[in-house]
Amino acid sequence: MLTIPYTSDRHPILSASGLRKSYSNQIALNGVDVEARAGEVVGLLGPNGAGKTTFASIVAGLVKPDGGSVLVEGVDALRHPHAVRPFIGFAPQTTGVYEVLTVKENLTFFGELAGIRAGKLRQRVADVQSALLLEGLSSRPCQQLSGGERRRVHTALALMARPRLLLLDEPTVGADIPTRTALLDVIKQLAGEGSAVLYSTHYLPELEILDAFVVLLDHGSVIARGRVEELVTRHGTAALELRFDGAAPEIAIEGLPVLHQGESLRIVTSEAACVAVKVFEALGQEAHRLRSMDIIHPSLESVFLTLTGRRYEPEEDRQRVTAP
Amino acid sequence: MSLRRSFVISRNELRVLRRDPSPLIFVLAVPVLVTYILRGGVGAILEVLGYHGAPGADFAVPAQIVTFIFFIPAFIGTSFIREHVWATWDRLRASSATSAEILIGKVVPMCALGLCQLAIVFSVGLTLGLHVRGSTLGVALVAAALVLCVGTLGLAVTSVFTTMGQINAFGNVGSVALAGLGGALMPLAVLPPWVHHIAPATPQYWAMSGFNSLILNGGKVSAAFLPVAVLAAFAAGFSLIALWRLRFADAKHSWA
Repeated sequence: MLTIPYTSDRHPILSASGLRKSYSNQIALNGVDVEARAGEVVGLLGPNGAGKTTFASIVAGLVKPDGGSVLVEGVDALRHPHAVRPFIGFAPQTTGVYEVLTVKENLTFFGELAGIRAGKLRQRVADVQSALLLEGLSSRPCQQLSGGERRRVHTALALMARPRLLLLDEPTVGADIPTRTALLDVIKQLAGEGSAVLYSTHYLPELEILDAFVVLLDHGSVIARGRVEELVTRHGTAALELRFDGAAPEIAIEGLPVLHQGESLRIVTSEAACVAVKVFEALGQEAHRLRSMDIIHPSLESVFLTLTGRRYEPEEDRQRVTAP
Repeated sequence: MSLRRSFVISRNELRVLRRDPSPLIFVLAVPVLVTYILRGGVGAILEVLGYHGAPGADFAVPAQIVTFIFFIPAFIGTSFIREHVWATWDRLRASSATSAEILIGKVVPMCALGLCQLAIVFSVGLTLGLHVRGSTLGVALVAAALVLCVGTLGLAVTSVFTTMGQINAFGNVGSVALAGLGGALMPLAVLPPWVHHIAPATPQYWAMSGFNSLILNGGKVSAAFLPVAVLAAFAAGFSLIALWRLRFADAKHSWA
């Protein structure tokens, strides 16, 4: 496993170590360590099935791990789950709101459950509504909202208690652009106020926008961790991507890995422009089916590719790698 | 354990109930209507059974209460299924509320609904000629035990059934069938002998037995003791089933 050292004098709000969990014969987590410090956004990144939801569910107290430990604000969350819940705001992957209740009633309920009272509760409801663009929807039942609006309410519920640790499991799935923008702004603001945010996603660009400390999961194990730019600098590689009419042809470029997937080919190289010439030679008669050719710059996606040998596919990969 | 958090959950249940008041109509209005319609015919049956001059409300009021109050367990089960369908269940579990606080918060409003039903149907019954010949305290004790039994049955139903279809089947078919077997649809005396053997296995029988002893037969408070004890035993049994089977992490669905 690759680790880029990260030092901070801010105290850890979440310390999870050695977390293991299996479902039947399927390993969901295989000794995962994650730490989130005050003011830090930790991006839990990986394709579906990587173990992100299981990790978030364990920290939230919904799933019991087979082994390992979880400390939240120094309290053992596995032994004393109710003691740590006041510190945690959790938005699960599936949108969860009381459909027949209004936005305000939903927010009020979770605020009251968190122990916020009277005047402070009204103020908090107003603040959260404002932050997530819900002000004009306050008196609307959730069942009358659009998918993006409901997603904003869903996330807003997790913010009501002004949590020290915010767990967001795929918060932007199904979200429209205004929702995504508002959400990322709120997360930055919350981190700026000293909360730790654990942000599980399979959308790579969001973690780049948040400048998150990334924990890259694959098949239940951490395969890399570090700040986005550090990981990209160290492991991100450029590539040449070609798209075809119909199935991508079988070609080999000497000394370079070629990834085939459906109608596209990706050739991993730091000298994409030079390789393009070789590609045309290799394509031969198939060149007429070429629709587009793009130079892919180093990014988290290429980090994943470098570390796993597989293209990053949120819905898990179907590609195969042609050995150089 | 925080009663405040249970209260917050109960208040939320009432908000949801306000938006979808069908349980209120079913549990509060329908038994009043049925009592009003049946009281004449039931009065004739009571006459045949030797209760000369007894108004039909003396049997119809407790009978409709006992029949319709046993729909409440299905409403309790539905309220849990709804949390799963709306995906709020995990949010609730991840909140500061403990399991006990969640259960109390969700069951108490439905038990309160049962108490409201008792108050309303008995009150309307008084205007229709209902006359409690025996101990009023005894009637109150049977009513309290009945509500306890219904609340715990709701938890047992929640723990055993996993889909809305199962709970609907239990609510619709089970409640009416058990009401019939327990002597709440018709006096047990006019039912076939085989029903007499089965009837004591139902909580409806013991509730009707208690109410009939106190209302029709003029029993003293002591006449309530056995029915109350048996209803309490049923409640204990339902609680044990709930403790044994209820798993907060288990999934529930609207339909299979």
